Amino acid sequence: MDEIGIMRARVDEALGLAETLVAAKDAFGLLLEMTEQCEERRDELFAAYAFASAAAAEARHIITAAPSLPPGPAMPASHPAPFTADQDTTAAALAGLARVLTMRLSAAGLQAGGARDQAACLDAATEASRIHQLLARDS
Amino acid sequence: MTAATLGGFLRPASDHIAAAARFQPADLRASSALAAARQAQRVVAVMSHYLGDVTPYGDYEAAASPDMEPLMRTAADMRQALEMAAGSLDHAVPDPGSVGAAPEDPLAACLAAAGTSLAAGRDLLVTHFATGADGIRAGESQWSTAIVSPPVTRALLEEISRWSQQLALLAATLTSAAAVDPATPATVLQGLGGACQWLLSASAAFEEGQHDDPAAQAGAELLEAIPANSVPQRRPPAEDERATRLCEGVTVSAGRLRVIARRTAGQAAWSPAATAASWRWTAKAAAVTSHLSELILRSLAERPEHLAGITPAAQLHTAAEAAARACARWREVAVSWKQMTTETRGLSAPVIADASDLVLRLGRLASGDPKWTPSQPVSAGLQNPSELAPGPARAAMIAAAVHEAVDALACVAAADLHAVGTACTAGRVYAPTSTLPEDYDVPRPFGNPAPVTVAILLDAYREAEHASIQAVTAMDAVAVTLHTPSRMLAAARAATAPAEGSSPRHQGGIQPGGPAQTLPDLKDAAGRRQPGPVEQAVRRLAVPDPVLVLRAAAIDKAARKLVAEAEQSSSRRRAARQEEDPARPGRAGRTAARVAAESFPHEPPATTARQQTASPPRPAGPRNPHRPPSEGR
Repeated sequence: MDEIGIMRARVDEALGLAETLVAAKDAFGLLLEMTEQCEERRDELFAAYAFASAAAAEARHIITAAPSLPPGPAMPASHPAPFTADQDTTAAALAGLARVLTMRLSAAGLQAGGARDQAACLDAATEASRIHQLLARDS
Repeated sequence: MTAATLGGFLRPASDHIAAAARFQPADLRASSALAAARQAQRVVAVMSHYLGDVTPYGDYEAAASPDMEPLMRTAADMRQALEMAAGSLDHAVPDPGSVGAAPEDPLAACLAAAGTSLAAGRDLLVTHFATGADGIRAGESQWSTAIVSPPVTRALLEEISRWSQQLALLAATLTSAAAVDPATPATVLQGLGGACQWLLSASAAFEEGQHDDPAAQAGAELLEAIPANSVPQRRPPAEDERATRLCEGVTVSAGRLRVIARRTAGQAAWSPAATAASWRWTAKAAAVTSHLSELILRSLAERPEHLAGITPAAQLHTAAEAAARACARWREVAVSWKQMTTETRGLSAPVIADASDLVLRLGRLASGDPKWTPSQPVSAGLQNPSELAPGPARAAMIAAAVHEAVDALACVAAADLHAVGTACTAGRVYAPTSTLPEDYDVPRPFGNPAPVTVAILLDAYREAEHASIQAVTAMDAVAVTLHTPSRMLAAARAATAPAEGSSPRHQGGIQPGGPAQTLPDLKDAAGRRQPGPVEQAVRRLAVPDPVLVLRAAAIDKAARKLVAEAEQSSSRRRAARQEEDPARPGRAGRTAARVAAESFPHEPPATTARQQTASPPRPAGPRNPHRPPSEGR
């Protein structure tokens, strides 16, 4: 859970388009890894995690194609330790990260100068919104 | 509204033909014979076309192939007889009249309705095949192989034999009625009489060739169950659907997925709608569908006493385990897509909507919540088994829905394997440069993936296809045991299994394009059919077997066709030789002016070609006796 919180803070505090894109790419990478882990358990939220991981994988590719993403190797993808929190707590935490991604990428897309950066930010925001809808634990 | 099936056309046709055969001479009007013969000709012609579709042998091949498999021999004989019958009826009624107008005569109206139903049924069968530019007809659906399988072919022959017998009876009745009317032309009587004879021959050909087949009933059921190869209208999920509507909706979505996935697979090389996001999402949807199917099957297995007294619990558990394995294989497909993308993005593939509908409806069946969505847990509301399937009928209906769903996934697996392979070959699949081997020098964010990565992806699809087929096979057993409406899917698969060892012509629905080509019969000055030499010889022997006469007529026709082909080939060779040699007498268009123009010198004598290429002129001197006389001319 700490990893999710740390990543959420990093996305929230990213300044400028380039830093936002780098943080978003790593965040989607973390979402992908964690949702795949949850899929492995094949519990009651199997469908939610399955589609969320598909959205995270697509969003990561979208960010990679953004022209303003700085070149060079990204931070190595984290391999989160197996978590023991209950499924609702995990889902809520991941949904929170997805919600922050939605807001920051939407804002970055509106401010981006180039059309391709705009499209990448807004498309990735759509995927993040999809992840949030799948994993949010409000009633 | 249920999908159209062949039975929906064959049963009315059967009823109409049977009703026509029951007409008595006293019921016939003065003009009935002509009007009925006109419509009967159409019915018999359509029947012969059905047989032409399943018999890939032309007249010559049918006559010259002693080793033809018995069922095909029967079909070829019956087709020949029906063509003869149609020809006789055509001779009886030279003026076809207006095809579109509904006949006023009740008997003719009955036959017209039969002809229309049969023609529509044939149109339904044709939707499962397409003829390529090379003239070869290939199957276009998973039903194509079943349609040409021995059980279905036999069932079709049996139906046509029965109709032939009924129409022969009708022809005899019409002959009797026409004979008492002095105004009836002689050609009508001859045509009806000939048709009666050939229709009886067609029926006799089946009687002679039929085998004791315990699977005959299954073949008849399968024949009637053949659906049209079309995309049903989509039925978006609604929030008030209960079990029956949910199961119906699953069947619709599964039917759409089978057709759409197959039809769009070949477009992956160029279609912008074929995206990695779509393939990845479809794999996830297939995994979720398999998972939900497993939950439903295990729930059904917990109440075996509700399964009509039979205990297929073991079969249900086997099917559930197969669904779980399929889920795992589909997840691996999605994982293989993790590092790859395409140049176009988005969930734009045509199958997305129906795969989504499938997930929603199965989730609502499993959870018992008509408003369930993938964001919600399943087992929190997983239906109490006694609520999911309170009785045998509901259990069978739900099992049928699961059967349809896993069958559709097997089709999607095969289609996507083909599509993804095509997309990779076309260079449409990319991977981030950071994931490529170090020796790949790609100055862009994405490059084509390494071959080993592509191989892993395609292997994952093959494993998913294999696992999906195993799940379908397990569900086939459940469907047969519970006698579900979807058991015809199992029957179609069972019917095609024996066809794998039969002749190549009978495999996979691949046949030479279109019905076999035939020649019209020889006729005398009065338009009457003239038997050929072989048929005459057989008739002189007065053999009681009408099939022998039939085959003799087929040999005569095949011989005439062979001679006609030889004549055409000879004419083409003659024409080609004349084109190559303009000096050859008889060349078309060689007028006197053209001949004169060929002889006219186009250059001054001093600059003819010979002189241009010869050595410079020498001073005049004594003639060289060694020079050939032609030089210097």
